[in-house]
Amino acid sequence: MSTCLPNSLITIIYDMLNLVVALPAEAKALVDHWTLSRQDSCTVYPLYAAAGIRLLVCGPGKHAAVLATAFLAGVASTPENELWLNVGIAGSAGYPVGTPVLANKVVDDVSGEIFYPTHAFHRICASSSVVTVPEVENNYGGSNVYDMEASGFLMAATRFAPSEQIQVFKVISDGPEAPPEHLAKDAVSALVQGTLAPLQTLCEELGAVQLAANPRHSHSHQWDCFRNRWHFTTSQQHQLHRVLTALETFDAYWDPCDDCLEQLKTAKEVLIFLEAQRKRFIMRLA
Amino acid sequence: MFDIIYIEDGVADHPRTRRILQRFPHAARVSCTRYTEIFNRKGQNFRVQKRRPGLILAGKQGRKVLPAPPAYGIGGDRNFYFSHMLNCLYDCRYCFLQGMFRSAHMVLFVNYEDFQDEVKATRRLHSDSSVHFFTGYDCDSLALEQVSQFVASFLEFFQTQNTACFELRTKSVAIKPLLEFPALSNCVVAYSLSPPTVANNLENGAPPLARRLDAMSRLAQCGWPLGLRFDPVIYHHDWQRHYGDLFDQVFQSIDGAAVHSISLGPFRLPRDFYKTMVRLYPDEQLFSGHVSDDVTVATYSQEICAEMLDFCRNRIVRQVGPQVLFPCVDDVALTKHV
Repeated sequence: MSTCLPNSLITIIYDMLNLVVALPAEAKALVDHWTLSRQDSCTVYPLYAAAGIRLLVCGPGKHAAVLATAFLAGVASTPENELWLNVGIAGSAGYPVGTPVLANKVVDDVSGEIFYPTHAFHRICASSSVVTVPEVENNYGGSNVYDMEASGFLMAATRFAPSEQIQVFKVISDGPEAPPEHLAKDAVSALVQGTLAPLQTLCEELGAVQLAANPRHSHSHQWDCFRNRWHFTTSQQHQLHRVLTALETFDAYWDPCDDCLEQLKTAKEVLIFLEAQRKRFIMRLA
Repeated sequence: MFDIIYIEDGVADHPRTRRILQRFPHAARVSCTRYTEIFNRKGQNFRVQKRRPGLILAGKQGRKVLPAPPAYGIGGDRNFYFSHMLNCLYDCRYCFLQGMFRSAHMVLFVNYEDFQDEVKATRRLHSDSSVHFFTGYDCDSLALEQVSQFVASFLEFFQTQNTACFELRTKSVAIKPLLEFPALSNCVVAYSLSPPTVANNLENGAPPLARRLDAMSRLAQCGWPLGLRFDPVIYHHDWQRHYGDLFDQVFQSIDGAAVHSISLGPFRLPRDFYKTMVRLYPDEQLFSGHVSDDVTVATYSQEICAEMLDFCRNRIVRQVGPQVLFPCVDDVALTKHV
């Protein structure tokens, strides 16, 4: 039974989810799951999309992941508000093949750089330290998980978005008793396919994270009306944003065409007026 | 309680670390060199992390006992504070921790003995003065007791330091470790109190007022000196009625003889903390109305502060007299407020 949500529901759950995967075989299960379509307008990378989701196939290695994630951030309109997820296969001696693992620490084996993705949600699956290595790792040390992209993905994504909105999700594909040389494309797709349920749960949790991180976007129309009518400097725009948001918490909305605003000639006068309105309101507690 | 525990390499083998890890066998364990790698890094969202914070076990380095802010005394000549924890189990919307820390993870410094050594040294340095040591500025002293066993450890310590006064600041009703210990005359158990309307709306996760009063009453019966902390006083619609009712309720429940000290202060924050909190909670009325951040401290207008404090002061003095009342007002900040 598919755990797939209809696309219309996905757009309600999160504004935009950006997926970065290394291999076409990893992408296949995700493209099928979310019914993503290839974006022919993008000639640099294989890019797939549907409402609320982009998926980019970056190729193996951390450098490829850095470049592709940065490219995807360029495509995004507000990368700081969006969700970023690296999905792929990984090796480990500590987990059986097929186990989904969420990274709680990512160590770049070459540079030594360390990242700590923040899980602001209840436990979904196993979480582990991931070591990003430059080549396929056959010596699986301890219970670590080994991949080739996570540190590059995080290096780029943490420049654009808060750590809570960036996650690394791996499925164990190989280990001491299942060497990576024997891994066929179809098997890779099947492994990713097998973790769609926890992956879907993760995406839903990330949607709630995104909502908590960006609780209010609603006054954009009002904001535009004010900016179109008066000239606000950059500093005044910040003040305007703040005071409109504050008024909105009291369910107070101002239309620039209201009589009381009609007389005001400058942005400064508008801000003084709105500030005075703000101070009229007293917090009401139920 | 915690799905993930970060452990500083330096305290990985500390007995307190080992005990705490045993309590959370299913939590993921993540090693780190210093807790600051996780706690202080940029690009974190406090509000989001508060949904599901992790625990960080660390060792406190550098100075551990610090001078308390000038207006925060309760009668001692010299006031100091120390923080065995950073961040709190509760999620009070007015709390300055939201503006001060980048992360909502809870940091527990497990090297209690180093704190105790520094308390002793500070006491020796000021042996000719009355010295008060406060905890619970950067956390709730009692709320995570089952994990930290901080109170149990520090009560034993302060039993031997009976010339120093020690304050535990809390909203927690988990008072078992206090009830199991003989009451110490030099240990004040101070409760932060707000009217039920304020507590229900702004003190997320904290026990309701009635349960706090019940816990205080039980502590008083056992001989523990109590502190009443009406701080912050929150300006809101019908505030006089709500605070009036609060004082009536408190002084009906608590024997005045058990009250060691009462402090009182308006909602106020360093301006930078306040701005961070407004960014985190743009949908919060508390930050949208009468608070001004034109000067270094964000607070209500001088008129509102004066009106609220006068009202509260009068009501408190009417019940217990002026001797135990210590207003926590940063006069400099408030007089600057025009």
